Amino acid sequence: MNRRNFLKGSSSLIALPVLESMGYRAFASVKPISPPKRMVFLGFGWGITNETWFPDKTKTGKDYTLSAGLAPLARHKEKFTVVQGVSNKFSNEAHWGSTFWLTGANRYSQPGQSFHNSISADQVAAGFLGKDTRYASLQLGCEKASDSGHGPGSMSWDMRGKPLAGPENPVVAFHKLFSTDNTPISERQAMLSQKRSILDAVMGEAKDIQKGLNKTDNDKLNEYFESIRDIEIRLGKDEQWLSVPKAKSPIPEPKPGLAGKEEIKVMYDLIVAALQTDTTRVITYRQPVGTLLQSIDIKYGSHDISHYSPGPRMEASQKRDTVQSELLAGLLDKLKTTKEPNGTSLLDNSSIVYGSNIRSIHFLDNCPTLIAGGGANIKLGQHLVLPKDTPLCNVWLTLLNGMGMKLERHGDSTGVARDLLA
Amino acid sequence: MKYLQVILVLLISQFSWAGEAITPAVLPAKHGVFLKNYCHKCHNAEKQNGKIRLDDVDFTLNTIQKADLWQKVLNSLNSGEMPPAEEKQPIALEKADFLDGLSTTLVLARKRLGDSGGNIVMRRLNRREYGNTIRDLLGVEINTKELPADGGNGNFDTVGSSLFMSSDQFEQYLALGKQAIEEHFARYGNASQQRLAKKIHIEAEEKNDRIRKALADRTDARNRYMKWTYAVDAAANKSENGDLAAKIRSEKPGNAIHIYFEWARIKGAPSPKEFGFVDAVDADEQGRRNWVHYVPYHKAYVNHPANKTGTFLTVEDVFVNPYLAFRIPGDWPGGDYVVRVKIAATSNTPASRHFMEFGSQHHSGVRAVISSHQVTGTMDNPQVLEIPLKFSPSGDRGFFFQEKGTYESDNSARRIFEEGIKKNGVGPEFALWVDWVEIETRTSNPEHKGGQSEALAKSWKFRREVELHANAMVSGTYNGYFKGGYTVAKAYLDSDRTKPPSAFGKGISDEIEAKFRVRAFEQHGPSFERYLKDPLTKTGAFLTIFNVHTEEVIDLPPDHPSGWVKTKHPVEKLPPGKYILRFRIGAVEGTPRERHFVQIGSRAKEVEFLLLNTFQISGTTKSPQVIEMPITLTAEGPRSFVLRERRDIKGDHAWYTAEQTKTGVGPPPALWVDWVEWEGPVTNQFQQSVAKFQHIEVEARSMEVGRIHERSRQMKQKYDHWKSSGGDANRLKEFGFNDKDHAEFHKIVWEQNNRWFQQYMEWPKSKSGLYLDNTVNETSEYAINLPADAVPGDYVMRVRIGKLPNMPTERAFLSFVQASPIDKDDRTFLANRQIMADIENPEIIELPFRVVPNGPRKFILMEKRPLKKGDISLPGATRLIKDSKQRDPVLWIDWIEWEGPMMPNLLQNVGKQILFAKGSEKKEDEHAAEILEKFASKAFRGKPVNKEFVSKLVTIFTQRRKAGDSFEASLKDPLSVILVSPYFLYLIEPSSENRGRKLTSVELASRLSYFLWSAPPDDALLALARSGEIQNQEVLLREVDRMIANPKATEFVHGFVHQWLGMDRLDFFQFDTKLFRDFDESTKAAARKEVYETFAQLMRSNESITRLLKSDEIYVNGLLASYYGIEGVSGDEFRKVKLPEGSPRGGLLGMAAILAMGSNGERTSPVERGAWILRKLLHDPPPPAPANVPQLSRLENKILTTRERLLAHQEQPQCASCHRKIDPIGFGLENFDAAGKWRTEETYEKRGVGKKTWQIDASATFHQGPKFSSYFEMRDIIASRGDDFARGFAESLVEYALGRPCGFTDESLLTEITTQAKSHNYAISQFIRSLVTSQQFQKK
Repeated sequence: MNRRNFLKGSSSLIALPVLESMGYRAFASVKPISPPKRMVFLGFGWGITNETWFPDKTKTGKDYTLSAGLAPLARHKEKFTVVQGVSNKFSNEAHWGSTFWLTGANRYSQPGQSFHNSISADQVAAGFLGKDTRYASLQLGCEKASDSGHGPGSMSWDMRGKPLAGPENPVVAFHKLFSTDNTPISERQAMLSQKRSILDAVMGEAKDIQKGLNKTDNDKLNEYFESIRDIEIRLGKDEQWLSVPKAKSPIPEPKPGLAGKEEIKVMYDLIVAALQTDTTRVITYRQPVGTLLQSIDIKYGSHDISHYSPGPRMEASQKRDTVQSELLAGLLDKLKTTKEPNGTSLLDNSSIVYGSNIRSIHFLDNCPTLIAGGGANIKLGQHLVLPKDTPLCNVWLTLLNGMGMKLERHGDSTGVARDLLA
Repeated sequence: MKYLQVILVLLISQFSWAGEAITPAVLPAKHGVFLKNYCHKCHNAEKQNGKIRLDDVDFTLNTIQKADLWQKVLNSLNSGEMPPAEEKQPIALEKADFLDGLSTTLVLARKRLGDSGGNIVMRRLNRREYGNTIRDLLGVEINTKELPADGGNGNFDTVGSSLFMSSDQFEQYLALGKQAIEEHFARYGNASQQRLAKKIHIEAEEKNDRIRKALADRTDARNRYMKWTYAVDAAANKSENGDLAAKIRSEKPGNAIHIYFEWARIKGAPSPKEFGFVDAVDADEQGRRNWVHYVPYHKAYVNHPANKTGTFLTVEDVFVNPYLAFRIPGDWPGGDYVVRVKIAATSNTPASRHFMEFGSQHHSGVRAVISSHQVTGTMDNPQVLEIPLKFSPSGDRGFFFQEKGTYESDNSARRIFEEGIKKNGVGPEFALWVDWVEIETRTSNPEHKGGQSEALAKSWKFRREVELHANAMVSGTYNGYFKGGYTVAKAYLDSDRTKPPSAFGKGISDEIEAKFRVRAFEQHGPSFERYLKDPLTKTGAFLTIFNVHTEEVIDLPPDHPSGWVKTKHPVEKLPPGKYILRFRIGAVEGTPRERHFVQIGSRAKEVEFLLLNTFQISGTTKSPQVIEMPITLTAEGPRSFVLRERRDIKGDHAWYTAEQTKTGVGPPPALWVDWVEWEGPVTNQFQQSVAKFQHIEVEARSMEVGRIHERSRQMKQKYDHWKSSGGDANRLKEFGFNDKDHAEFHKIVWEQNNRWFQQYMEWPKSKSGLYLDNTVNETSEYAINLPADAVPGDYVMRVRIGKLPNMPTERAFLSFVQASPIDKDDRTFLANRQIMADIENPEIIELPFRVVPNGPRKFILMEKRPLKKGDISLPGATRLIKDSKQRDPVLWIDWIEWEGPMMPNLLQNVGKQILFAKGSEKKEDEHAAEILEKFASKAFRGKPVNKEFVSKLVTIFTQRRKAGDSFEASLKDPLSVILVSPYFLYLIEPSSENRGRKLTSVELASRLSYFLWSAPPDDALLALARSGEIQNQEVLLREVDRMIANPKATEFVHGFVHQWLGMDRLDFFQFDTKLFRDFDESTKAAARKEVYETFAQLMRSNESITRLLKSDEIYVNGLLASYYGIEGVSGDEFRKVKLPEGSPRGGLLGMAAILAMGSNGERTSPVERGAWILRKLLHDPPPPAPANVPQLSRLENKILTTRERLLAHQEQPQCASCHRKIDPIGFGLENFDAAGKWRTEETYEKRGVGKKTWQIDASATFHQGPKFSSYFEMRDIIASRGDDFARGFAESLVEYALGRPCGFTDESLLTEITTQAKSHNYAISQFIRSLVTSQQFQKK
């Protein structure tokens, strides 16, 4: 069976986008499908203002009062839960808010290596949720991530503990998601087949090299092999998606040069657009903090205000919390108003995680954690104070299982966080 | 020998490293007491609270588990969790000491446990290297920003284990590779299209129509507003509205315009709409606010006379000209362009405003500054600034100019504008004026050279063989005036004098004159005769002194033909502009060297001479040199230029007469001119059009030495005569001595030097070249003087040189040195080269150097040895060297050439196109295979190319070909596959499990070039690798020197220094330009560059790394010098500047960039500064910021000095354990504000609390160390820690170069490198040399 015939035959096998906004109507007659689940992880690097972001620890459950830092989220209070008491026990890097946030790994667990990481929660989810979308997952980032307290690498780490990179500005993200490829299908088929030849050629080279390598070098070369294999898998997917044009973007192309607040806002719009068009179902976003401050006229450096002390720097820190919460509230608004074909909203089927490995200053305990949306089937509208030093990975495990996975552990988890379960 | 010793030492010491046992990190036993006192109670065998037992804990942290346990201990102490509040608490100092000890041990343990054991991991090219490799390979620049950033984990971006690969990244490489191939084809593939040069010229005043129109619109709006308000007033003043109007006015007393906003309430008042406004707010804005606020400025602009011919760059008001924008047309291809702007600064504005920014503008209007430039042109004499521009078709086509610092943000622009209004009621004074802007294709590729500049304007070139004119003139004077006059006068005088002189011929009136003419002929005639008889006057002209032919006049054009020879004018009057004078000149053998200078002057009137320049002549009549000098013709200025020997006009007559009396003829001429030439007007844009070249045959040295020898011999003879005549002091004058000392001096000179001079002339090749010996005589060095107007830029000196046999090889090094124009003893090493070639078969070596404005023009070649005579300490370098092996010449130079400025072109080795023509007998796919294989071989940096791989590539090619693509297009894919092959993307050094294989020559070449250039080896290096010569350590070191001198080493400087010093922090915050007006983006960029330039200069001139700790010199440009308040430096080039006494600058601590990094953009951060110094300068890094330490909040609502605020750190032991080391150092820098300016007091204002001003106190005490009372004392203490600094530097260098964290297995390597470097005064270059020659660098 040649590739062309395969494609003709296989197009009906493709899991098609299901949303109202595109495609769904056209294909609605195929069969009714319940909306897919999505996960979004939003990391804000440097942490928050300890005194004013967390709700009062003594008031837990449903009847808690929103803190000043979370006040802008008041209209969504029923749609999210704030969790306290969780942390990554191996984390010691006081300036790394994202590197181990979703992995819970021990940097020093491998002798002879000064850095080690393991798979992040979003990638676990991507393995499960990403099969049917054009992109299994999407990593959004910002320039100068270390200035925003994210730490090295990425927020997303693959199963081998290697960082995954993605667009660092809205324009690039937009093109990745929605840029239409006007090349005729036959041409693109030829390109796919050509790409296979390319991979075949370089794979031969890599094998040639492999013969003479010692173990460490071989491990390094394996990254090359793995990335080629990933592409091969992706090519298989591309092939399936060949006849399906990229979704039409529900939003216009962003202006270049956006920074800070506007940049985050547009990235949030892109997140909604990506979910709405079902281009991907798993997204991480390392939000900018340094440029956010500049855009809201705070002249202090981002690290500097994370070391606030009462006075102007603490006020700046609080202002940042408020603006970040306002932005999140805007995102939740959009997710709420985007309807699924079955009448539910995007927010109902998504799990939006908002937090950081850093609490504030140099504190890595009680990682700020806010979970919104009904995707993971957790109790919403709550303020939960878990026992001190509960592994943050317990929360991730709970969410992943809530998405429909059946995992026993993630990172250093000791079990699911039962209090979170609906 | 020295280098051989180095290598030997390395070899011996490094055989031990493989077997060296690594001692683990151990917590000092004394800390057991702390545990016993505060922890054992609960964490013992019985209780084991929290499942932790500390009574039997191991103090040796040799496993991850043990380190983790101790980390827990540290964490719980830091967080204050332990000991629990109800238990006994340690006293602060005790706790701080324990925390200090434990955290340090943990850092050590982590480092040790993470040690890779010296294993160098195969690595991918990082982002910088990838871009450079593509650049070198294809001659195109691509945007690598799309690739994810490398590094992290606090490592360098060369560390292999941190350089990952993912499928996304692979796809990006594939896309970027293809883009690069396409760009290459676009630039180099389709030649015919490419060669069309593009140019646009924009007269800036064209923009002014828009501005005039805008003013007319504003005036119109004002008139309409006046009419409207008048009508509203009229309605309000009607008696029926009287009460209402009064009521409205009383609503906002004192606000005269309130009534207009309330117009609708007034009966009969017209709507602003009737007057063309949207509403009252719009009317107020357009008709009043803009009028008051902007129009005075706007009017001042429109009425300024200079805006008839150009345009001012203004501030803030977009209707005027806050930035001057222009576009590259849509059909222009990518490539190298040059943007030219004719610009001037006004005289009534401060020099700090005379900087212009150039940048790109996105179509959305977003502007980004690319570069900033100092404007030195004045309104009377604007300058043409040239800005090279790399333009990529995918990039922005819009560009702009603006005044520096006028736009950091909307707010700041508004603020500046308002400050201007406050000052003068109008707005900021106009500072920069632009006449025109041009953009033009730049030919950076040799193949594209030429073609367009000639077409720009008409220009002329005219050469004159001087002998025609000179001989005609000299012989005319001789035969006419002298000989003719003499004949007549003699005939008359010899007659009975009854007939008047006129009867015997023309020109003599009476007897007196006749006598005079006879005498004149007798006196001067022989000099003329000698001139005319000299065969050299058949091909050129001598320049004599006082008489005969004292000057050669060059007229542009020759507008007063001498009358003897009619010259044809190329043009009646030349347009003003820049011209070039060129002449071929040589010195006459046997004439004294001090006469070998020619002066060029301009002449407006008869005999006037306005000196323009003086050149030393090193050419001879046999081998003349060509001297070139740019001149400027102004509209009414002189058009005559005069060449003459440098002389003392007043004394010439006496000299001539004396010589004439003695010998019958005047002094022999010392200079001879072959021809003169002028050319122009030259357009300023192409530097190579004024590039100079000079070839110097150096055998004249022998003659010089002979002359010195001869004079010395004569003096000695006189001395002997005097001595033998009794040594009578009264008779000294007779013998030509001033006094006794003078006589004795000449004797000593003879005794000490003449052996060598005598011997010099006896060396067999002294007549065909020059020897450099190791004495302190003239014969030990050779100086080359570049003309004073040599255009700044990159030059190259070429020397044909060989070494003498049977001499010590360790002496066969040539030093290339520059001498300061101000202080002749102030010399700087530029390069050392080992000379390998034999004297019988000399080699040509190239020495790149740079000429900067007002910088040195004198360059010296000598055998390698200390620079300054006072520094000479080598046994060989004194006058009384006995050992001929140490004294006699080792080096012999055949000739010297210099050339420059060279086009700044990093791509000299590219442009070798991928595509090449097909041999006629070849099939198409064979041809494709050939192209692909050749490219792959180049891309793989010398690794052999697999046949199978090529055939797979050909298959891809054939697929595309069959699909209907052209031959060229079908190659794009397979070519880009080569660029994602692991052989291209990775630096591969295959090895089996046993470590320690020696690198192959080709691998070594790659490791070296990626170390020093972040780029692949060039052809020269690869050739040495292929021949295996690179394995010879001397050859290797020579390559290191060459590579360091090459401009590509800038990549190393930027890549390494940026990461080593943690300079990314400089971009972490925005400086508030309200507080730091001068520290705008341009200044920040210059400050950053200062760090790089300083390091680069120190590295290239073999200077010590310790000069980064303290120095009396800095490297700055005009912008930064003005920021530092240092006078007399202008221009954009960085150059060495000697610091005034007592300046706090000099060394990293005084650099604005470093100081700014130690701030938060508003206030200084002594903590950042102190920690940085501990980390980077003192090699005593504090542990990383600990997690979970409680913060103090006791000090809210108090205004504290910085010091008071920080001293609070000492209260809590968790903080004190680190801050007691960090903070005091930071205090020492408190005299520098957040942006690095010097201050003596500081003010802090806290909203709602108050304000406080205090005197800066920079005194403090190092933790367990010395006290200091000022910044200067602290700097001295830090400067005395050179050993520590060098050690830290070496660690970073090793990590960067080897691409792996520097671990404990590197102890011996580090010791070797630092020891070697120390014996070379810690020269940066020596660190590099020692590292490159180490086993670790040369082994996998």
